Amino acid sequence: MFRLLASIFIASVMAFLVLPVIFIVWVAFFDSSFLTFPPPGYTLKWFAAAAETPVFLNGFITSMIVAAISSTLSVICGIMAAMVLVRHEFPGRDVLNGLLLSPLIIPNIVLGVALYIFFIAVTDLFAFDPISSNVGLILAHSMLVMPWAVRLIGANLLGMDRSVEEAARNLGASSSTVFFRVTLPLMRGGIVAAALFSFIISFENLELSLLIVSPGRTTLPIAQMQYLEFNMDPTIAAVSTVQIIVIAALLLITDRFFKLSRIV
Amino acid sequence: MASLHIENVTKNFGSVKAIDNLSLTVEGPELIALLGPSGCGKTTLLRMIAGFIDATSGIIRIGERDVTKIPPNQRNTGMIFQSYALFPHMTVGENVGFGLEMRKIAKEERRKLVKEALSLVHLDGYEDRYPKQMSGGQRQRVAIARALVIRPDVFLLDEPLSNLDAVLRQSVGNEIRALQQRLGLTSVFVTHDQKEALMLADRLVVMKAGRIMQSGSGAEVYNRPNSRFVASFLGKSNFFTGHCNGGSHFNTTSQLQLHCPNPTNGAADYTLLSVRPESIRLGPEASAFDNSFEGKVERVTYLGSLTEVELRLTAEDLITVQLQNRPGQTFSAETGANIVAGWSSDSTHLIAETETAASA
Repeated sequence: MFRLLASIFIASVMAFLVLPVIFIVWVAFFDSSFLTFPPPGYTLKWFAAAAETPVFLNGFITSMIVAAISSTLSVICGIMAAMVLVRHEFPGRDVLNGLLLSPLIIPNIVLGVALYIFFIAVTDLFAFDPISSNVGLILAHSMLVMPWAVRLIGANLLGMDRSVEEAARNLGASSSTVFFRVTLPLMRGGIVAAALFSFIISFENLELSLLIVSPGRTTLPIAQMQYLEFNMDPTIAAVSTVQIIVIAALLLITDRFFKLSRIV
Repeated sequence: MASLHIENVTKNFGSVKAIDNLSLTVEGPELIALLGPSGCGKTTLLRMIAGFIDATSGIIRIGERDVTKIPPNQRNTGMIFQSYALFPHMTVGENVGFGLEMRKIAKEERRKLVKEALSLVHLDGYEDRYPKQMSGGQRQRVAIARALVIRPDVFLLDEPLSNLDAVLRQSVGNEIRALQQRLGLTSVFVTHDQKEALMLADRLVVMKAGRIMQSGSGAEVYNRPNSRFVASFLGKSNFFTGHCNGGSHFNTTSQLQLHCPNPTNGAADYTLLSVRPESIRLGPEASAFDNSFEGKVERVTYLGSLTEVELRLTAEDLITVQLQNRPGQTFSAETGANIVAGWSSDSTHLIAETETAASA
């Protein structure tokens, strides 16, 4: 009896989580320019429409570029930060750890406002406006995903058997050789997971990006939101479907390298 | 022939003395076992020899070379780890060849040496496997090949058998010993397992609190322990506290009169007498010995090849007796029964406790 109730409960939760996603994907194929049930037929034309809408295409490209660069940056910094945090005892370690994780605690909108003000100050001081190019967005996203990179790579490093590195040292390897030949290859799981996770978080971020994009230069989530203000046709569902596929594929790859259940 | 000299080495971790003014020499093809309870400093000492821990003071020499300040990668020691410590992302061949690669040995030559080293540990043809495809015993043998292929000046083993099951422990242990003797390696072996130490080592070095308590062959240390600590760490022992009258009598604080061998050092104050449990006999045959006392059986434990009996002689003295079991000859007694226990004075050993007090 308990097992049955538990199964029903689990099934309802799963349905609650998955149904909206299935619904969006389904709607993307409806052959009707407004939502009607049952659908009069099925079509692929909304995908074509999405690709032909410049804001979506440009937004998609911007999001991809920003996500790729910011996840790379955050992984490089994450490796260095994790090495220091996991491997060394020093005064202020907890403070540094807290600082690196703080973007998780601060609401995205607040971060966005703070960065916006900061970038204006930078523009005044250095005559360089980070917001007029993707530089500001990339820096902001790097900061946003940094806690994930540090955590994932750190967890990987924490589970590493240090005697493997000592063995390499014992066999005649210098510290830098040990790092590049042993430590870094053994961190691969954490690095791949951190890169993909960072990519996903950056790719789907809306709130932080909202405040630091310049006119005519938007990310995909912002383009979607703006489109929704005036349109309610399945184009948006088609765009979302593409987005879902990208993220799902990345999550599947991540899981293959690094069991997500270990950190979530 | 290589040698290892440790001279007045001290290691402080904060206010804790992990190694306390310790000196030790290992010469030629000798295998010594550093033996002691956890926290005695044995692993710290091994890691200091390998170069992973700096000495606070003192000198470590390998052969004629002072290596005290030399980083681990330039010491030319070969170390075996408890966890095998193989490189999981490299094949067995790459693992074994790593040290040769670091020594800039050409690829062809390297392949030949790797093959030889693997053959030494009976793993011919395993070059292309990955460590995770191998069993624990095989992995440790790969680690041995990897450490030996570089022709280390000193062979260091950090509890190399403790991750293996009993059968493998025996066979890998024998293999280590055979290789060590064949190659004449100066070796230091760390273990907390007295059986391993006795099985493998030429010399046992019993440590406690960063100091050497006693050093000698297995038989020496077992039969003539110099402190209560060593006697109870290596095997079991029964202790009587009291005083040796200078002759061959020992008066315990519990008023027993024991016969003992004549003290070797007349000046020493022998306050402890040790009798190994297997030296004691029970029943009628026990009365023939020069030490025989009646006691009350408190517990009888059957242990397969042995039966262990706890016998109370006085309010203070509870002794443990180990009797060999033979077919049809298993000891049995009721708890509470009175029985005679006896042992020869030749099998007792006097300990001057002052040494323990100084080291504690």
